[in-house]
Amino acid sequence: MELICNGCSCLCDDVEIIGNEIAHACRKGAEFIRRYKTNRLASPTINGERVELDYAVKSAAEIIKKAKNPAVLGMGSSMLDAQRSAVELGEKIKATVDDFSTHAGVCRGILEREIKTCTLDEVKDNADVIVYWASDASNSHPRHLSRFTYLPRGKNRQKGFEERDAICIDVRESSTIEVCRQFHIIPPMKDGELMKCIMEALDGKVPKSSFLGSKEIIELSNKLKKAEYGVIFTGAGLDGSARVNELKEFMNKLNAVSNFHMIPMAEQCNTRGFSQVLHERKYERTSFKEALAKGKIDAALVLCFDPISEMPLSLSRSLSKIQTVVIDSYKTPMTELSKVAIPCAVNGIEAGGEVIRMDGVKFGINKIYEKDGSIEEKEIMKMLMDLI
Amino acid sequence: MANPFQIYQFLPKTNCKECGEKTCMAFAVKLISQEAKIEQCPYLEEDKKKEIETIVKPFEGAEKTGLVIHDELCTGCGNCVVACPVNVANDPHGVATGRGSKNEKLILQVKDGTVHACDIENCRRFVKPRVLCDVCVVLCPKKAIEFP
Amino acid sequence: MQDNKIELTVVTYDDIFASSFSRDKFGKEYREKAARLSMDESDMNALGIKDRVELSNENGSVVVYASKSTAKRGHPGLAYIPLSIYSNILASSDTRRIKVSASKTEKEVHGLEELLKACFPARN
Repeated sequence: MELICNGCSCLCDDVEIIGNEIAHACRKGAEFIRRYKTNRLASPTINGERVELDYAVKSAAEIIKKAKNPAVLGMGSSMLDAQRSAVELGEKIKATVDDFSTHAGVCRGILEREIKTCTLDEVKDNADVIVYWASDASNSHPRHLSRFTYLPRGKNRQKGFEERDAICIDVRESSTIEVCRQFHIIPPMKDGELMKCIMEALDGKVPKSSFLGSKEIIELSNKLKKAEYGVIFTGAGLDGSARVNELKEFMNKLNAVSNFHMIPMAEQCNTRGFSQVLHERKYERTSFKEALAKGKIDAALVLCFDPISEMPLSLSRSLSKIQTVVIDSYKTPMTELSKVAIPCAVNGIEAGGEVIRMDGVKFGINKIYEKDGSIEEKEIMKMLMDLI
Repeated sequence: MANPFQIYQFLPKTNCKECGEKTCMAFAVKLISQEAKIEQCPYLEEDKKKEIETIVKPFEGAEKTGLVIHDELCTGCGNCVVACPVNVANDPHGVATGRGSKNEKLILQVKDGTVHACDIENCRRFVKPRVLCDVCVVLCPKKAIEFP
Repeated sequence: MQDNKIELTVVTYDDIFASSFSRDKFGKEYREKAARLSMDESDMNALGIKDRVELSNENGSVVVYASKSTAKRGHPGLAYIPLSIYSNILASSDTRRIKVSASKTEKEVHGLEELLKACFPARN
């Protein structure tokens, strides 16, 4: 059986299940598929007590209706239709909508056509200079280098890695740096400064940085300049270290003398889809963490996401004190601390739908296995919307 | 990467020669290269035997080319699969372009999330003219594949 | 006798082994992969650490497994851990870089159930 894995935003469509064996998927994808039934959220609950689904949905709707400053969170691994429902609801109740993605700026820049981009297939066929900037693809998207960028042979790159350059810029000796022929380890929060230095070098000036030698920066700039088809993959590490304006300025400068594209290493399988939904509906994403820290949130609807694993404990404690509704397939710290928890079918395995890959290409995913009594996220959203 | 000294510390260190080797150190070396078996030493206690087995285990699949895959370190990234020149030659439109493939001549394949070797005697290091190819080693992000 | 303590900067990252088990956060494998600090050998020796370390700062304290780092370059004073609730116990506003005091410990590494009870007492 052939399937599309939704373990990350690579959306590998060459995964097969042959008998009892899962072929071609990486460790993450194989694990998600093999143990999709483990640790499931068994039943709808209110304050940890099991209740009927209708009652749980009704209570959830009450929480949302009564809220004066609600938030809608997560959605990064939800299918497009559930994302659309969630954002539609968010608009209706004037909620803070946040998927916690660090790639919001780049996604928006691409959608607003201010940052040049391309597809992963175009990278495979053409790219001769590949830059992983603040991204540890070998951990977050294991098959990225072998399926799309450095290793494979492409139409105009028949020699594969022998005629490609892979460059990695990061703050530590990551697994991706282990693979890339060229790498630069820089101190944290210095990415914006490095971009400025490269721009100076591209202008023919001698850049002065506090952390890398001028010669190293000039050599890097020359390599970028000579690229026939360059691509920069931006990682989570850029968050707070280089503002979107700086990225745009850098890309424009680079493209005045070379040919570079940018693709965000979107964390979850449909992070890019979420940015697209916001863009279509012209709704702004705002920071939930900032609002929560200021005491400005009184209720939250969370879709297939665990904020507690992503926020400082002090913020999670604040979150545990407000009214929360979680829709998820699995038991997580969030489901255990929420007021109302509603189980849903596993996206991509028990429920099909549409997702958008990190490069903007849309995929239709079919379910692999029949669901065992749970209902799809989009159905739960519909039930909620009908009551609000 | 295991070295014989790690095994030596669990051996009797008497150099009694009953295993067929001149010294315990020589026996340790042969254990790693799969040329000797633990059972050949009549003076090994059970717990020491288990320690040696743990060290030697990754090398059991080494076969003739000495390829070792540390399954617990492998992420299933497929770098070795796509870069392997034997794989590329056998499947130029499948694995060579980064796609998972059912081609039966592949010597490295990702199954259940980690890489597995099969027919590894077709590796360039073994087939004449023997080439010291180390592409799979160099491109592994976790150093899970090696020719020790 | 005062226990030996050293100051470390803990850097969080996305670890594939921890994230592989992220759908079963209450399981043993997740705990073994996520609650694991990758330390420089000299720091481990200075504290006499074998397999566990206690990390604390003004935000709280947590016991995690300790492993020797596989980085080729040494990084004394820096240690790496996957981003998870274990690291978030210690985080101030930046979940990526956290200053802590590290010391040797015999205490157990908590599973998620126990950790949640300890961190969110009001809930139970």
